[in-house]
Amino acid sequence: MLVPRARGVVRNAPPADDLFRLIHSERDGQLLLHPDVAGLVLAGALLGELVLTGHLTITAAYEARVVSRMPPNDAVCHSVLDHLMRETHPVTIWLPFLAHSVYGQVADRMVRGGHVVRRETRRLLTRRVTYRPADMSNAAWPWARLLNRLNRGDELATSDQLLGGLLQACDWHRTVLQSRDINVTETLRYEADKAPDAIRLLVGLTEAAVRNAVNTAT
Amino acid sequence: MSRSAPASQGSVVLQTLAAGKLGVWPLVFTVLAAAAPLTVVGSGATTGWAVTAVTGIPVAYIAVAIALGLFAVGFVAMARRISHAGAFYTYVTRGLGRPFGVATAFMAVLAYNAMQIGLVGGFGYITAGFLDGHGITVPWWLIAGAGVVLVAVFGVSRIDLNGKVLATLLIAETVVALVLAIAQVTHPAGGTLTYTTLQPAGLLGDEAGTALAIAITGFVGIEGTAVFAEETKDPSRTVARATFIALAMICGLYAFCTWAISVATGPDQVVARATAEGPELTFNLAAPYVGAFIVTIGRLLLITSLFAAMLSFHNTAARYFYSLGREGILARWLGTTAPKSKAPRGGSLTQTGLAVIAVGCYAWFGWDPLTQMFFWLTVLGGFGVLLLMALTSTAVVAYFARLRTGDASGVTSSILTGVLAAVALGWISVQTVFDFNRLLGLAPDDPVARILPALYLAAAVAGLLWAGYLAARRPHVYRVIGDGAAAAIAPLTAVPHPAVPR
Repeated sequence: MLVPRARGVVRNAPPADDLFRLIHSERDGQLLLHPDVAGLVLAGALLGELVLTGHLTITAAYEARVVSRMPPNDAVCHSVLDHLMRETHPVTIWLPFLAHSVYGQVADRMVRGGHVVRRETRRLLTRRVTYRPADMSNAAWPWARLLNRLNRGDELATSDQLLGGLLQACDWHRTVLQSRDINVTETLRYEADKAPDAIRLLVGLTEAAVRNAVNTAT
Repeated sequence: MSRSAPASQGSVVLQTLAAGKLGVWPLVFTVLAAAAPLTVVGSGATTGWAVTAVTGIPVAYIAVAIALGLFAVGFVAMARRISHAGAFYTYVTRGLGRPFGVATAFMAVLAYNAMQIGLVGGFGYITAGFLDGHGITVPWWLIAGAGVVLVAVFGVSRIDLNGKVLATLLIAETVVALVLAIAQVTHPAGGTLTYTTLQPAGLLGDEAGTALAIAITGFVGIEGTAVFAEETKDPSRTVARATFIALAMICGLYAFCTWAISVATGPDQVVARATAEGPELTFNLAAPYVGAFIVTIGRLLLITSLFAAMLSFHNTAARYFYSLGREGILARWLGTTAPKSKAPRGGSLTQTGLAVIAVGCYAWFGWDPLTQMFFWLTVLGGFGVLLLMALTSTAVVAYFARLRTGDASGVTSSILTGVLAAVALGWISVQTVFDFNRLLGLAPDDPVARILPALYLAAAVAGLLWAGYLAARRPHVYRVIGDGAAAAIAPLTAVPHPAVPR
């Protein structure tokens, strides 16, 4: 069994890691979103990481264009970039494609980093996998940070604009911000709209993909 | 770096995405669940005879199928060309402009809710009748309420009857309907086969509008094929095939089975018997020849078929609310989702709320669940979908007429069939409006027969006014009406969509 490493305080986690924390229960590590939706927003977050590291840009025609072929530091981003370099598609195709696999990849990254512990429980017919956080305060940090900044009216960093936008895309922001206060929601919307074009496009396209997932027949 | 061809061969990405998509038959079964064959044959048509006293319903099914076939050509062709081809209002927006798009959306919300609530009434009444036959007496509204609750749970937790369950139920329904029909045809009244109810002459009299409106109600749901275009393996072929297969299957089934009933009773007796026996008629006619087992199975399948249709229209209505909420056309709350199940929660709860209020009103005021709820409301829903189809045909013509200069394949045929469909569906709509009192079984001067169709006019006017308000006060919402999921990127695309007239 994997034993979580002592990690100390984690503050500058990549957006996909923060999102992973936010969509899992802090208490028992259970996934709180529908797997399809979780896959889509995590795919958006990984593409966002590549945009933030300067590897990728999103054109006005929604195409994901690779601008730097320097290998990213992170293995998961590397594998996503490999896909992006091999074929050319609009983001509307990439999101559902990546959504198939990214959940497991980000989860593995979290496990490797010692942030969560994977636990598998078997019941009568079902198998349930949970990712219990190794450190409660690290797990709570993303929403505490977002909520605090929004309440104070501070400007959000670009990575938080991405994170906030993705939370709105999956309609999870109200739960995360634990707030019925319309002002917090509106501030988040306002802040997310100030993000650079590529990030805003990515967030918008992720929201569109989630909406399609809600409206499907299957 | 190798660039992929647009076709899926050679592209890992496109092949992976195609793997989980719908083929022709799952699509056919999905849309036929909404059409609910046994419900139409077993209770739609018989109630139609009883309420309207118009005998030519079987031939009307064939005529309507032809009109819908024409409609489907342009509809499917347009679905292929526009992205986010979802509901009717996407087509109307792209073809006729945003104000008409909003008007169409409002009409569609009314139509699908009416359809669903009508089915709830039928479910309550017919299930109560079935239980009564087994010595259990339960008021219809209690069963209808239970049905609404069950549909609500399914809706919010997004439990869809999956393809295999639907396919099994549908095949069983079809087999039972055919067995009943064959028993009826082989035992005609007076010993001779009659074709009176299949004579095209039945469509020329002043009863035509009524018969056609009843018939079109039975087909509502098959427009769903295009809604799922983006989920099919090959949108250009799967959707077209599924649409025409579904259309041909239910046209044949409806026409044959309802004709069989009229043969077994004799065309001159069918109205009297339908009035006396209601939804039991088709079972009573066949019972002496097929054995009690088949009849019991048939009655059970009638109930499951009603439930599948209720759920299907619940989902359609919920998705309309959801899309309108998400696009910001109506309250944003309607666009909320249930995170765990990715169900359109706001829309689903709203639809359930409407159904609960309707069942409550009918129970409180003691209105008749079979004629005034099931028949009136489903016919009202069917009439609404008829109007939507007529509008959509017009939109298809307008869309392709503007497109003529570019990519020309299939444009002329789409325009031609679109014009024919618009004329045919428009003519049926006009006939129906004039005949609405007969359709509802009311006296010519009854205000209800004026009020019900006028609801659509009210919805359309409200939609146009609302579009005007949005254009003036919330231009960022107005700009992306009918863009479907693309509305999420609304604030980023300052220029209006090139394909949308102002």
